[in-house]
Amino acid sequence: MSEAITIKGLRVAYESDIEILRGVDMLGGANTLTAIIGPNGAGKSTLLKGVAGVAPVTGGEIHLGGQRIEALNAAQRVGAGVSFVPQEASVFGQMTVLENLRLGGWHRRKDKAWLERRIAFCGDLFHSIKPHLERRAGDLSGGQQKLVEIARGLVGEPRLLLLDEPTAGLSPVMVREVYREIARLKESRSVTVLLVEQNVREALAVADHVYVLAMGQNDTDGPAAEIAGRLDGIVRNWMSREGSGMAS
Amino acid sequence: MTKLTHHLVPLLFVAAGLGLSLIGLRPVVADLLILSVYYLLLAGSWNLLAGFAGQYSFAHIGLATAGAYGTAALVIAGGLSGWATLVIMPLAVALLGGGLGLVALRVRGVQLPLITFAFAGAFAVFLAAASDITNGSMGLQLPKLVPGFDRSLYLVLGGILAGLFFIVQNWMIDGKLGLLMQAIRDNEDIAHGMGVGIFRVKIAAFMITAAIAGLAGSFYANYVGVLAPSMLSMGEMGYVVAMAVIGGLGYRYGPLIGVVIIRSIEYFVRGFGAEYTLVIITGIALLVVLFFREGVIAYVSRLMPRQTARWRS
Repeated sequence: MSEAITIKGLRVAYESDIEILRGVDMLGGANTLTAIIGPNGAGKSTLLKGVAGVAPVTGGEIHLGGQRIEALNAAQRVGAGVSFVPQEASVFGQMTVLENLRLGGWHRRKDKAWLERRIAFCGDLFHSIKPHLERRAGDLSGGQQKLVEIARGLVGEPRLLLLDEPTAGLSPVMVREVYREIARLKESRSVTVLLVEQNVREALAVADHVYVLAMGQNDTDGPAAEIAGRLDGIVRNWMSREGSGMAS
Repeated sequence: MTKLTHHLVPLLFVAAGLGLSLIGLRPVVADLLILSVYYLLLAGSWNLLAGFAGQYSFAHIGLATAGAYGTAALVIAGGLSGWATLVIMPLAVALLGGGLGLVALRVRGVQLPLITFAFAGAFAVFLAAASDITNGSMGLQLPKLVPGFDRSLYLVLGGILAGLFFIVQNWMIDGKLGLLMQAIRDNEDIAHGMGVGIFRVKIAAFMITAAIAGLAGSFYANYVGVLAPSMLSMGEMGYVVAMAVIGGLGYRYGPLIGVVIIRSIEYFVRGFGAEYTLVIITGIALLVVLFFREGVIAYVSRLMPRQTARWRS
């Protein structure tokens, strides 16, 4: 069962004097897709890593449903239902797609019938990878590999799925392929998704709600259609700031 | 190949061992086959460790040598029968392998090959230097399992050991352990993030493959009957690696094909002398790396995609 995610005043600092996130608030409704956009260095990926437990959170609260998770370590957060698909390629290249999926539910392997059911369900989820379940994951196209990673992230039946720039480095054709499948995932209304993306138009097209970050803080937010309507102004605002959105 | 075929392969080897022992092969051919089992056990277990678990250890021949010298110690000093050493030494060498696994947990990348290379080198020097125990380069002699020059028993035993290896290999690759070993090979950090117990998997992989190497060493000692530090030369390790790589690293039957190819070449070029054999095999290894980058078996399976696609893990 999916849950809403509530983030209050989240602060992340890799070193004590350099804060990347300086108090970010966010609300992602249960079973909705929330996109996070912003200029380079705004702290988008750091936000996801903070939620996943792989970046040091120095302040604020993260609530997943009724549970506070900011004090849990990364493994405990997986147990709490957080699934993180990192930006870097992370398929097990020489293993088959099915074997990749099996490992996605590894933390709940004791429940064998459940795991088999989830593998079958997630293998069936994306049309682009469904015909290739027995193939080596490393032999698939970049877009298909990313879909394998997303499907693998869903096998554990997460309450929250974190997608960090799923189309980074992909060709335009593959970007469309990945987004077609993400749109279908959203339509199934089965999981809460936080999506960080540089391809702003694709992200806006699938999102329910959009947050704009700049310099490690909230810039603006609104329903996807509304943000799309004033996107030009938002982007102009990024450009007018000196350099990038990097916090200093 | 289906799972059923994989399970028939061990039976095939046991039957072949029995059959060949009854035919009465020429001694030189019997020798070739019996020592090929030694190399199959080594190349096969190294393939499991390096090809499937991604742990490039160069101490494998060192572990086999430990198994051989341990066998000699148990037989000569301990008065045990050679048969008992075939059971005891794999267990003892598995513990050694576990120690190497502990090292492997703490190192990344090129460090493991370097450390294991050093381990093997130091062990070879020890065997030569500690002449009061090992008889140095004069070597150790131990009695055969059966007195005389009859090789038929060794053909049967070789068939059984090869069969046993394929049973263990099937159990590993098709089971949970194989899945986790391959996940660690492909992306250790992501596997860890998914809850794979890296510690247990690596230690298990090192211990099981070390046990097979120990068994190989014990078999060698009981058959050849003469042990010298040269058993642990880096040339021998190179042979074992070449067999796995030429056949197909990371493929179930890669090492088997590699052993067949290299041992056949050795047989046919033996008239030129041992040093030329090494030059010829190096040349062939180079050709394979250049033209069949994933090994001979990968090339053949691409020619017949339908039948052999699942030869891979």
